Amino acid sequence: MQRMQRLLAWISLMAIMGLTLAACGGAPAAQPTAAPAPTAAPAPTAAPAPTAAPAPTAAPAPTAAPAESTIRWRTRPDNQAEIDVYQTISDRLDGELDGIALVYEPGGSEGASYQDVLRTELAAGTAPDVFWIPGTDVADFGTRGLILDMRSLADATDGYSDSDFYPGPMFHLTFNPENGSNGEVLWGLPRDVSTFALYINNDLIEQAGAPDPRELAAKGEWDWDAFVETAVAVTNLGGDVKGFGMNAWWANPGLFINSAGGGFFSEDRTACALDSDESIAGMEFASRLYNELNVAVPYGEDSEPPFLAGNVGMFLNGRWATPGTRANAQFDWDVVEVPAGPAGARSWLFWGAYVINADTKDPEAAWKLVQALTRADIQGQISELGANIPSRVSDEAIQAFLGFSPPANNQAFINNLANNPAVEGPLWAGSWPEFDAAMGARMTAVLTGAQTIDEYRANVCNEANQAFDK
Amino acid sequence: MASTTVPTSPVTGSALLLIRFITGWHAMLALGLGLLAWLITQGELLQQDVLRPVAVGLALIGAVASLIAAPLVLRRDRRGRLLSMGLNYILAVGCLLMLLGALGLYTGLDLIAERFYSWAWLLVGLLVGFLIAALGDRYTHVPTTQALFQRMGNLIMAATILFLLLLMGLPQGLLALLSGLRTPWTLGLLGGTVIFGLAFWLFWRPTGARMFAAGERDAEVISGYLFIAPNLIGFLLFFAGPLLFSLWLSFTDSDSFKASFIGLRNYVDIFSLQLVSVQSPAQNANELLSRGYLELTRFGTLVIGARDRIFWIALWNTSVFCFWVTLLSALPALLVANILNSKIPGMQIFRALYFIPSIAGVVGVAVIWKWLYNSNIGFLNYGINQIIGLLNWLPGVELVPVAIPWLASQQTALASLILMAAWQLLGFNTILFLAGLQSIPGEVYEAATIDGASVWQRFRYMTLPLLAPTSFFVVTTTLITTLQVFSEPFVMTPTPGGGPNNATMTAVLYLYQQGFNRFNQGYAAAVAWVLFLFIFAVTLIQFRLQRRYGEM
Repeated sequence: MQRMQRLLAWISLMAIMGLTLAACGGAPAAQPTAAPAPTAAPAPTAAPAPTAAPAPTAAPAPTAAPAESTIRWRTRPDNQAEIDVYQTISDRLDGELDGIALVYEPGGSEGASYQDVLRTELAAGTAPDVFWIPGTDVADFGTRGLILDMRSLADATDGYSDSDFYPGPMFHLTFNPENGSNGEVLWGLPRDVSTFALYINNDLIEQAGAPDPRELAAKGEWDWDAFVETAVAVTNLGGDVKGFGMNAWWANPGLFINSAGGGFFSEDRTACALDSDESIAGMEFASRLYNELNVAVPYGEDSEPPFLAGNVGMFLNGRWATPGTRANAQFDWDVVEVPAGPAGARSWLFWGAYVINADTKDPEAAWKLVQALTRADIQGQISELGANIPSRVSDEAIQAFLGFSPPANNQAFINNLANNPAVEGPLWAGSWPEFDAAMGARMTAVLTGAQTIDEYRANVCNEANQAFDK
Repeated sequence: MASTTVPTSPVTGSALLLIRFITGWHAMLALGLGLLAWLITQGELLQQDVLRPVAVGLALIGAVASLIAAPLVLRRDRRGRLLSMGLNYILAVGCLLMLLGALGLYTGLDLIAERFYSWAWLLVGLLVGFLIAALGDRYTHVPTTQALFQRMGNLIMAATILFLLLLMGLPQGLLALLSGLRTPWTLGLLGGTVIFGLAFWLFWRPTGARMFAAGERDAEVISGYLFIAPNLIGFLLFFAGPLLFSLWLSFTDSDSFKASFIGLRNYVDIFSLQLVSVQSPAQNANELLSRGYLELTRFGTLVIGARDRIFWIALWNTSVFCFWVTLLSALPALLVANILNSKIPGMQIFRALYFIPSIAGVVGVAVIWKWLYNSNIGFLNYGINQIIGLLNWLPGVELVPVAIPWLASQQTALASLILMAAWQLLGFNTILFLAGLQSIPGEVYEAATIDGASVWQRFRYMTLPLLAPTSFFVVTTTLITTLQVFSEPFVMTPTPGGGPNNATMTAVLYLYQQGFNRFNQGYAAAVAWVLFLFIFAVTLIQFRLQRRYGEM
C-alpha cells in the first residue's frame, strides 16, 4: 500500500513538473494560421483598389528582418457572425503579410466593458499590439501616451493618404493637442463609420394609417412634425405599442440637439453648450415625446427588445443594429433617414479607429496590419455583414455596403452621412467620461420627467463644465 | 515554555568561515538592495511609475533587514539566523516566482487552461487506470495478480498523463525553457534563486542550527513558518499587498500609468462640503457655491454643496439599499425559517427551493430580473395588468393598464434593485435562521407550552432571545454584503452609469467608474478606503449593540 502511495506521489509530482514545463512553452496554437480557405476569399468585385492598397515594399522597415513577428489585434464585435468574419480576415491577412503572424482576439461586446478591460490590460502591459477604440476615447489614449503616433510610418508609406478616409474622423485622428494643429500626428485609422437611422416597423405604421416615412423623406417632408404625427398614430393603436423608442445613450438625445442646431460643445470644444437656446430646443422636443405626448418607450429602458417584438413603430439606432434586426424581426421593416429639425436632419457620424499600442515591439508590423485592416476590400468584406459602413471614401466599399439587404433603404444611412452629420469625437481639452456622466444624468432626469427643462438648463453646464477642469 | 537549547558547537574553521561568509553576504546584499532601490528611483529598472515607490520601499526594507542580520549572524545570535533565513527564503521564492513569470509560466498556464476542455476526455484514461489499480485490491489473496493490476493501472495513468503533457506542449515547453534561460535577466533570476536558496539551506540544516545553539523551539518555529509559507506568501501577494498598495494609491493621483504623491487631496476632494443660503427655493444654488462645488441637497433655504456630489449620492443610495435589503431579507427569512422548521411533509423540498436563488449567480439573476422589469414586454407589468384586467370585471371599477418603468424611473429604480437583492438573499438568511432554530432544544418549548405560553409568547420571549447570535450574524453579513453592492446596478441599469439621474449609483459602482472608466485609480482607491471605514464603523456599531443586547 505504501509503495502504491509512493508511486502515486511520484506520478503526481512528475505531472506537476510536466505541466510547469509545458506551460513555459505556452499551449500549442489553437489552429494553424495557414492560407485561408478558398471560401474565405473576397468576391472578385471586392478586390483592393490599386490606389488604396499600400505598397508593402514602401513600409519604412529598415529592421524588417525576415524573422516572423507576432501581432495580436483586437476589435469589438457585436455578435458571433462578426467574430467569424474578423477571424477569417485575420487568417487571410496572416497569409498575405510576409513575416507577420496574426493573432485575433475578439474583445467583449458593448455590454462586456470592452474599454475597461482594455485599459486594465494597458496598465498591466498585456494589451494587444493593435486594437480598436471608439472615437470618443482617442484623446484620452493619445494624451496619456498609450497609443503610437503613426505619422512617421504613414509618411514613409507609398500610396497612403489621410484623404482616403472621411474627413470627420480624420480631423480628430490627426489632431495634435500640443499646438492644436492637424496633420502632424496620426493616432489611428478609422475602422468604420456609422450614422443613425430610424428602424421602422412598416406593419405598425401602415396599420396606424400613417404615411410611409420613406416616401415623406423622398419628398423632403420627413421633419419633426411628420415624425410626431407618425409616432402618435402608432401609439394610438393602443396596448403595449409605442410610436418611438431609443436607448439611454448620449447620442440619442444628442440627435435632436444637433437637428435643432445645437451641440454638446462650444465651437472650439472647450466648454459645454448644452444650455444654448438651440440645444435646449432639441431637448424640449425630445422631452415632449416622453413626458407630454407619451409616445416613446420609457427612456432608460432597452427599446430594442420591444421593437423586435413588434411593439415599437420607430426605433432610433445606428447601423450596428441591422444584423440583430435581420435575425429577429418577424415583421416588415426598413430604415429611413432621421427626421429634419429646425437645422435639418443632422445625424451623428460615429466612428472608431484601429490604433497601435505604444508598447508594441514591432511598430512597422503593427502599421502594416492597420493599413491592411482598413483596405477597401477588407472593409467591403466586413460591410457585407451589414453592421458597418466603410470608413474609406470609396465607391467600391459603398457599393458593397449598399448591396447588403434588407434593409432595402440602405441609402438612408449614406444620405445621413452626406447631410453634414455631427462628428462623434473626443474631448482634447477635458475628460469625456466626466462630461458624459454629468450630461447623461441630467438628460435622463429630463426625459424621465424627474426634472424640468428649466432645471436642466440651469444646471447641466455647471456640472458638465467640470469635465474641462480635469 | 522554556526552549531546549543545544550547546553551541565549538567554532571550527569551516563553521567560522561560513559565519563570516554569510555575514559578508548580508553586507553585500544590503548594499545590493540599496543600489537596487536607487536604480529604481532613477527609473532604470521599472517602467511603471505607480509601482516604483512600492518597489523602492520593499528593496529598502530588505536592505535594512539584511544590514541588521549581518552583525547578529557574526555574533552567532539566533535572531540573526532567523532573520537571515527569513530574508533568504523570501528572496529565493521571489526570484523563483519572477523567473517563472519571465519564462512565461503564468500566461502559459492560462493558455493551457483555455484549451483544457479539448483534452478533458483524456481524463477518462486516469479514471480507467485508477479503477484497474483499485481492482487489484480484490485480489489481496493472490499477490501476483494484485501487483499485476496495480502495475497496469499505474502504467495507464502514467501513459495518460504523459500523453496529456505532450498535447499540452511539453517538448515545446522544454525548448522554450532552454531558450528562455539564455537571457541575462532569466539567468540572473535563476542564479538568485539558487544562491538565496543555498544561503537559506546553509543555516537551515542541523549543522547551521548547532552553530547558533538553536534548540527544538527554533526548529518548531521555522518548521511552522515553512508550513504556512505558501499560504502566507499568497496572502501577502494577493490580499495584504494589494490592500496596502491601494492605501498608497489613495494618496496619489495615479491614473494606472503614472502616479505622484498628493497627500490627502483625494480625501479632501471627497469630503469637501460647503454650506450656502439661498434667498428663495427657486434660486439656483450653484451660482452661490464656490467653483468646483455643486448642490448636493437643500433644507429650506440652506443648501449643502459638495465637490464630489456623486460620491455622496452613491453613499446615500448604498445606505438606503443596505437598510432595506437587510430588513426585507432578514425579517421574512425569520418568518420563513419558522415555517420551514415545522415537521410538515415535503418541507425539505421547500428548504431547497428557498435556497436556490442564493446559489444562482448575481449577474444571471440580474439579467433575468432586468427582463422581468421591462416596462413594455416584462412579466411584472404583464402580471399587474392581468390583475387590473380581472378587477375591471367588477362593477364600477375602471382601472387603467400600467407600464411602470421599473428600472428607468428615478423613483422606482433603486427600489427595484432592493426587491431583487432581498429576494436573492432571503434563502441564505432563511437557512441560517433555520440552523439557529434547530439548535434550540425542543424541551424548552415543551416546558413553556406546559406553563401556558401562547405561540406569540414563545416566539417573543424564547425564540427571539435564543436566536440573538444568529440574528446578529445574519444582520452583520447582510449589511457588509449590501454595502458592497455592485453587480445589480452594473448589470441592470448600465447606461448611463448609475441609472436614471444616478438613482442607482452605489459606492462600489462609483469607485469602479472612477478607476476603470476614467483612469482615476488614486481617487478610486481613496473612495474604496472611505467605504471600508464606513463598513467598519457600521459593523463596530453592530458589535456594540449586540454586546449591549446580549447583556440585557
